[in-house]
Amino acid sequence: MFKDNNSPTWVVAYASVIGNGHLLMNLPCQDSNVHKKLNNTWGVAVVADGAGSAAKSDIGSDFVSRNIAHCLEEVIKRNGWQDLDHLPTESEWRTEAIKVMQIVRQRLDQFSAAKEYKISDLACTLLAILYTPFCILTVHIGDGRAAYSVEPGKWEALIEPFRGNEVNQTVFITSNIWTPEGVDCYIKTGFVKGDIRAFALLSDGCENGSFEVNVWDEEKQKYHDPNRPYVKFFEPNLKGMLQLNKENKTQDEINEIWTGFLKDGSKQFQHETDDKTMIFGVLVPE
Amino acid sequence: MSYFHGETPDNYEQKCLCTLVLDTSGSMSGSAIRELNRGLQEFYTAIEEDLIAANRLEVSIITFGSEIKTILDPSLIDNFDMPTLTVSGTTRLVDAVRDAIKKTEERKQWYKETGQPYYRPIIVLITDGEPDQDQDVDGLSDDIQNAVDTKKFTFWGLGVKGFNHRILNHICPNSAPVIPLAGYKFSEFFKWLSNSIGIITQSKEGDSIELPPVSDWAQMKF
Repeated sequence: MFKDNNSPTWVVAYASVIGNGHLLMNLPCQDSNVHKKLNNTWGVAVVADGAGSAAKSDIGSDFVSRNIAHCLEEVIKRNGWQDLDHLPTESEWRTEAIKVMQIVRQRLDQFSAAKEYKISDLACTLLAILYTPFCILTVHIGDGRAAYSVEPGKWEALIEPFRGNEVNQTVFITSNIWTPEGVDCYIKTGFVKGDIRAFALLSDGCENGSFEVNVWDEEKQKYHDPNRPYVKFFEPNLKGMLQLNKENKTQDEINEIWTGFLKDGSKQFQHETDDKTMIFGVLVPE
Repeated sequence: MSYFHGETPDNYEQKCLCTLVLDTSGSMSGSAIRELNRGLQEFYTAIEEDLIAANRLEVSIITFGSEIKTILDPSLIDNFDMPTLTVSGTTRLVDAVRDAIKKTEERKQWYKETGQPYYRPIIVLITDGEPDQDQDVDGLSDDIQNAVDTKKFTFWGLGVKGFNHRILNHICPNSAPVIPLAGYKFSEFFKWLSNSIGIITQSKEGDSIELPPVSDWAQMKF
């Protein structure tokens, strides 16, 4: 068991909701998410988004998200990072995170062989973080978005999603990226320090509702993706999370309310065609 | 009780251009133009009610009789009222389609220059006749086939009662032969078109798209 420091605690909401387009085409929800609370202050969160074109990507994203969460927990235990309340260096984190990705890809290969699935049918992106009150460590392959906040009214992007030249083109854990150059290029890790007060991880189905991703640049006279978390989205919702905590809602109740919000809490979410996943964590002030 | 009141950012939607190239020559008078106008209005309403399509679809309309007229430059549904078409003149079909191709390329270029992602544009030709004698049908046919093969745009041709099947089929690409309209079922056709656009604008790269069947409005036997 991890040691509990009795410091401030996190309230976390997590849910995956099927998109209208998938309902229309009779497809399952291809997003998956996993959240693991390691103690009051440390946790692991994972979002995986199955490729629309892959026949069994719902199974792939479920397998990958569960295995990534499990492996990251093992890495933290093995290195004693959490017990000592100290952090790895950026380089140590990258080394460990890449090892985790490689292990999970190997397991996915074995799983696909055992089930006689084509590996490409299990294609999914993935985005994982280890969060604490004083830092967030990230690793991701492909697209999705992530944000964090260290002070009220200020939110920053945690990752830069990988985008190809064409609309909605990205890279998956099943892609041919496992050369040294591919790993450098496509497995991205990050390390943010500070007094973390909140974080969010989301699949691309949630990005139009919560990030500025396609806006007009007056200076350059063209549209661009600033990858900017929308403060007016996150701050009011942060207050909602604290209210849920204040009312002593159970984790199931929180997730149920969060599911409803992702389903139709805004016009954008209501009409979104893609599956929507968001994990939203808020540190409850002492 | 609602706990979450976060606002939605104002993101620009990726665009899907659909250019309607419509025959308004004299032969379209009477029931044909009346039903075409009715179908256009219903198309407008169907898109308006589909929030995703309404934010992503840009409609352009070019008509042809003796003159080629750009009735509507590419516009989102909220930014125009569907015009009522009137008929006159002969059938400068080839010139009109060429104009549509040129304007489609210009719009794509503008999307690129302004950093806007876009879906493959669609050109829809609707005619009840055959091109005037001086029109270069063979040249147009080659150009459309090449453009469709190189994924520059999707082309659908709709034949209205009295159309020349051989010539219109020659113009259409091999992958999408001419579709003969049953009677004047423009309403059903435009319902199909709005449904299809709804599916296209909800798709992602790599999705295999299955459009609705055409049996409700197409006359498949002669």
